[in-house]
Amino acid sequence: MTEHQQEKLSALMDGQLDKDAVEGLVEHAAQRERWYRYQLVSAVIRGEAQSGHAADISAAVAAAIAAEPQFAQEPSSAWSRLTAWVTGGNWLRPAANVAVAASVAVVAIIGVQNLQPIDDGVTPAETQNRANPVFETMPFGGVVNPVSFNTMQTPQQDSAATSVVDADFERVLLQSFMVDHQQQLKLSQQEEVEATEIIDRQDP
Amino acid sequence: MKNWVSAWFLVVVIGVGVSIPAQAIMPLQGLLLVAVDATTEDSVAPTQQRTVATVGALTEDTNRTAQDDDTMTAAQIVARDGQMWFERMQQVLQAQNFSVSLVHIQGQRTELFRWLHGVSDDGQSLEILYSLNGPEVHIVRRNQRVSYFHPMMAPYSIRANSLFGPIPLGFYNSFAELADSYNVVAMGGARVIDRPAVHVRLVPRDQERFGYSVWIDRESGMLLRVATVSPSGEILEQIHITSMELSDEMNPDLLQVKTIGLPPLVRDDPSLNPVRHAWKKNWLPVGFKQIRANHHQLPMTGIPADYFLYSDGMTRISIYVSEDPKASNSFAYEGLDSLYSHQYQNYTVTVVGRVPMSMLQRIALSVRP
Repeated sequence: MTEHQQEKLSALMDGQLDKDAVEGLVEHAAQRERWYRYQLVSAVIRGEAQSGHAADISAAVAAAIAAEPQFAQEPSSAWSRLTAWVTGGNWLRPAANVAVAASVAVVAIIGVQNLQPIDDGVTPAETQNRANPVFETMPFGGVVNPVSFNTMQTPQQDSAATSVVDADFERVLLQSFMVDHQQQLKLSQQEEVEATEIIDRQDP
Repeated sequence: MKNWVSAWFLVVVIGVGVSIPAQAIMPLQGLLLVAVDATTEDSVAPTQQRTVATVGALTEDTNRTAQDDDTMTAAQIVARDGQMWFERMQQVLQAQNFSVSLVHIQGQRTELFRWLHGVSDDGQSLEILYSLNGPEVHIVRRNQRVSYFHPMMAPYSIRANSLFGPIPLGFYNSFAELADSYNVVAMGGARVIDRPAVHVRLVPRDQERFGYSVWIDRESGMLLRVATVSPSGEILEQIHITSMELSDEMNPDLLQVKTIGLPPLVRDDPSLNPVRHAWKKNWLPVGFKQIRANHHQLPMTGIPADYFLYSDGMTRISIYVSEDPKASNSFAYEGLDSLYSHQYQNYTVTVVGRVPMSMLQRIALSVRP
């Protein structure tokens, strides 16, 4: 059944379709089955179905799900979407620089809390007195996954104006390190492959 | 949940402790016999040649070592079985044709992926991993070229032996690389997605970094589940295979990877710049080796930093040292990947990695000019 037909069927159920269109739809055997299912589901929702109907539904729905081609073909459809997208053009942009931006939005900052400063005898006193904010996050996996960057004020209150600026810059700084870390991990994979190739060339 | 995790960890600790009571050996020997049976079956079946070759070698190996059981301690037996199963899984991940669905759980975040892998008739290694929920993230690998696709960004490629995705990179390194840092031990049987599985643990030797629990299909050697576990026994991240199909024939969807045009490679120019100063790392956890060093500028902030990357075979730690005043900020961030930044008079050390905060902190505080 095409998407267009399904739309018509849906319109029919809502009573928005004229008589000719109804006949055209119901002629088709598959249509009738689907019409029957839709009506059943609709009846169940309205609380009109008999208990006998309810028992039928589970079998009918199970059969319908088994027969539904898009469930079986899920991988191909996702893949064909990718292929379409790849051949669609936005493909051969210079990637070297964009790749850097690519994994930018990987950190989501969810909450903020205070961390006791550490006395290692090296840090200047005023730095120690300042509470270090700790950001908690839903961590990200290796998969680049843009996430909106939720800005949030740190609870530290030593100096209202400057602390907000610090907190904002701290988030940028954090993002900057996290993104760079992910990029360096990927580039280290590349470096390893190239190192192996050099060894292979020297020692055939 | 938390109680369950602690209980589980307790059992594990009791089970694997340094000395294992003699009674514990019996079930382990049973496990070993099953293992030998399973591998023999596999090598008879007409599966892929590369797999057969290795599984065949493994079978010989286990047959030979099985006779030495009487002279081995329980700890040696679990270590040997652990390595055998881990390496068998590594082999399957690289040589077997498989199509799986998996769930990746980090904290409250759950992601679903489909993962296809295969080796074509002409020997090309092909792989696709893509997300099933949310934006369509695709990672495609053709031999040593891995391409990353996201609807929001220009695609790019990296040369690599494996995808940079939810599966730990350490699963694609040689066993020797992680053996200095982790005891790999076979824990015994388990049931995962209704299949008999072997539970293998990667226990950090120093008990201070994250460990890994890996469940491997007893019949095929396929990875079924991975959990990253903190030193206190908390599960931080999980990958769970939910359905799996292993086949002699490659999944036809992978054929298209053979012919598709892949996006350009990312240039790695910064690695050509040597570090400006050989900073002394006075403390590093056992088993971490430097695998990369350069001087480069960070994205977004443009902060220049000397950069060092360390690996213990399973996890990697980045150390940044910058004399740029913009970087001078003492702060910390705790997640699965954590960050610890420490400011000295004229330089700032920032350490990032998937290890506990205490370890990052100790490393950062040990760096000196």
